[in-house]
Amino acid sequence: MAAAQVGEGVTGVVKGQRVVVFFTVENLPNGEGSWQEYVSVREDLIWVVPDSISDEDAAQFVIIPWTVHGMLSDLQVPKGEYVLQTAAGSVLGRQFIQLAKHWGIKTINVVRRAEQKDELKALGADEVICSTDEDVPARVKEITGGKLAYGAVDAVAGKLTKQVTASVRDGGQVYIYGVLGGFDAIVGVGDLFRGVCVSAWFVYQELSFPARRRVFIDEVSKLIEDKIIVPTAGETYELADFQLALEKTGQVGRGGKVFLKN
Amino acid sequence: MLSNRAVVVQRFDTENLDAGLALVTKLVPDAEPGHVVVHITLRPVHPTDLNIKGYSTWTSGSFTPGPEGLGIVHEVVISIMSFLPSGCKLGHSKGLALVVAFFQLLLFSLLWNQS
Repeated sequence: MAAAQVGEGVTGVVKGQRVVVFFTVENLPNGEGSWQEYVSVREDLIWVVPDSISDEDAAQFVIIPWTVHGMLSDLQVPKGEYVLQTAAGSVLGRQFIQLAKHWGIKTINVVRRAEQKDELKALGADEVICSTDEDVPARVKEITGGKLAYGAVDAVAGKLTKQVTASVRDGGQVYIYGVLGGFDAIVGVGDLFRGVCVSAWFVYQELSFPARRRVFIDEVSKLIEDKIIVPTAGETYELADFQLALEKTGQVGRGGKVFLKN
Repeated sequence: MLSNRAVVVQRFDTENLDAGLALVTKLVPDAEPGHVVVHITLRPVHPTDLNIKGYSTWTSGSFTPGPEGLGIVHEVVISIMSFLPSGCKLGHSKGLALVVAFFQLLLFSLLWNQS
């Protein structure tokens, strides 16, 4: 098929073009996600990938970099202030460190394993706290000279959220974006009384706004092209071996992002 | 004939997310007007991909997970909407009627030229 005009607001999509597909709250609830070979999507929910972005970077272009960019923008952390994050050794955590550094924001990174400290510092992390053997709020207080973190992002939930809220300044914002520790989060009521606000940052919801999609596409693609955000690729499995891919994804310290290909 | 291999979550269990997954063969979707069929070739596995069903407002039933992916455009259907002024909305049947009317006009004009 030759180049075709495919609808309002779309400049043209051609058969054979390399594209990223967006799944939002509009189409994901239909149960047609990307773990299959063919999907039909509305023409405004794809993005033609420029040659400057590799297959591996493009395949993980949406969820992680956009969550990182969106949360860090929405927290409005002033330059030189501290932001706190949990699960800092994850692929997302690493990109969060890279973008915060680029924007002049200092990071306090919570990890479970002490051996991750040097690696994250080499990546640009300002401070790394190991939650297994350190008191997170006490360390944050010490690092910030009593000011506490300006805001925080939490991928874990569960009991850790209580330590996160206790580490944030009066009136500070905590975004929960993951459920690694379970579908419930414990929040200190005393911290709520201090005006700490706990809410979710949900990328699928954000992706549903066309204007916001446009901003993300423009800004995140540039950050990836400029190597400010460097997505990391791990092992790749054939689609049929999805159970192996899931096992690998669940491994502690697995490294880069696991892929399914066909 | 093309087949569409798909991972499907047939049973959602918050205690054991990996259980209840199966590889099945679905139909390759037809391209509808205004839609693009993409042959997805590479997608990441995020720890939260299977949790999607845990967000209570989402629909029930079996589903294929995966919130992002890279692919190749497989089929594009030219939308009738693209020939109309922006803001002009047509239902599917009205759009079809317009296409039929267009070809009738074309046929009439050809016959007119011949006569």
